[in-house]
Amino acid sequence: MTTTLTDRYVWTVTRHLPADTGPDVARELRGTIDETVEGRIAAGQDPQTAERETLQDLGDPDVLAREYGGQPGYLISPALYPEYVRLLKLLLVIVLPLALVGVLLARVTTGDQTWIDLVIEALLTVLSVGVHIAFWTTLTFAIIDRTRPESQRDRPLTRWNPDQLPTESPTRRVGLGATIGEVALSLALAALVAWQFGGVGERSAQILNPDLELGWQLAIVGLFGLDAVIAIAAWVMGRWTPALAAVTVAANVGAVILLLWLLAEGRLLADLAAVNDRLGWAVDQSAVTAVIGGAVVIVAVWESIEALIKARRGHRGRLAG
Amino acid sequence: MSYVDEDRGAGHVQELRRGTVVLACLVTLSEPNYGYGLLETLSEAGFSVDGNTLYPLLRRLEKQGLLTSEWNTDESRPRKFYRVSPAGAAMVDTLMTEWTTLDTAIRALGERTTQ
Repeated sequence: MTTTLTDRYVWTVTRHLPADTGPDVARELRGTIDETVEGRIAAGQDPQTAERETLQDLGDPDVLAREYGGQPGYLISPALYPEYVRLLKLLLVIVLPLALVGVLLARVTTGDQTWIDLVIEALLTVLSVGVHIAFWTTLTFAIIDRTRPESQRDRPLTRWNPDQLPTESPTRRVGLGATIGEVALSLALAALVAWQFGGVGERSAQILNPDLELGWQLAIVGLFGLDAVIAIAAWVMGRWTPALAAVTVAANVGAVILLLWLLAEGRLLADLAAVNDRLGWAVDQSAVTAVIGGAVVIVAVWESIEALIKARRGHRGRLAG
Repeated sequence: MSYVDEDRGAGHVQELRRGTVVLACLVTLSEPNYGYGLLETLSEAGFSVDGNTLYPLLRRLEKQGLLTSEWNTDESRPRKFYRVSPAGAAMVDTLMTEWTTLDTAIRALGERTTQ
């Protein structure tokens, strides 16, 4: 027996329906299709075209199956979508910086990898943590959506109330989450640098020079601390002011001059030959110097531009408010 | 039936009709009818509905207790006949009242703004 298009269509629509309705829907749908086809043939179409066009008009069988089964045709319903996006953003902003700091601290203190490996591992960790967060959040919301009674599908999980308004506003553009992230990152970097200058002990990689003059050491740690202070100041003021942007740019210019000068003098980095010997690395001193120099410039330019953009946005926001 | 500029009006007209499909079905099914027959009847009355909307809708209304159904196997082709239940008839009354109220309210709005 050959299988007709109609057979395949009816089967596709009804195969996932529950056993108590599936066969009944199949019987009715088949009768309906047959009658529609006959109607078209009576109107002068040839049988093959009539069958094709009837099925074409009924459309995607999976869509029809969802209609029959009362199943939603989306992963996350429009009613839940805003809550989903809010939660996802919040989780990413808080967890990703923590993951980055965590992996850097853990790996640098054990120190059995090269710098390149460390950077790659940090990026991969942040990527996989981000993908995990997105996946599990999405899955949770999709399951919630599918297990809710049909009558509640057009409602959000919790009724919105004005207390949920974001802390940012036209005159207050700096969010708490982003501020916490920035402060945590700056302090972690300051701690990392301070720990390197303090001497890291036998088992870890001594990258920065612990014999650098105390004044320069304090200045460098202080510059990272300053980032945290600026982030807190911006949050307290509620927006990025031109003054804050100016301080940020000045601090970054100062940092670039200081760090490049110390690098060029060969005073910033420890003698990496000793690290190579002890940990079995094969790091080239001049290559590391070049990479760190480049990174310093890139980060400083990035931070300066970011500060200027934020200050400009804050200024416009104040005019609008 | 009047035709509106298709591109601009079609969306709004469709939106307005979508809400009235249920009422049209319930009203028509005071007499028993089967899916394809109902589609034809509605279409002849100038109320064209897509099959992929109508057929699942009949099932939904039946599940909600507004329609009852029965297979008719007397003829050569078995057909599933639907008709309104008492609850469905009560729903028709409710929806009809709402329909009239809306009609009156919309007309009243129109008259007030033209004055």
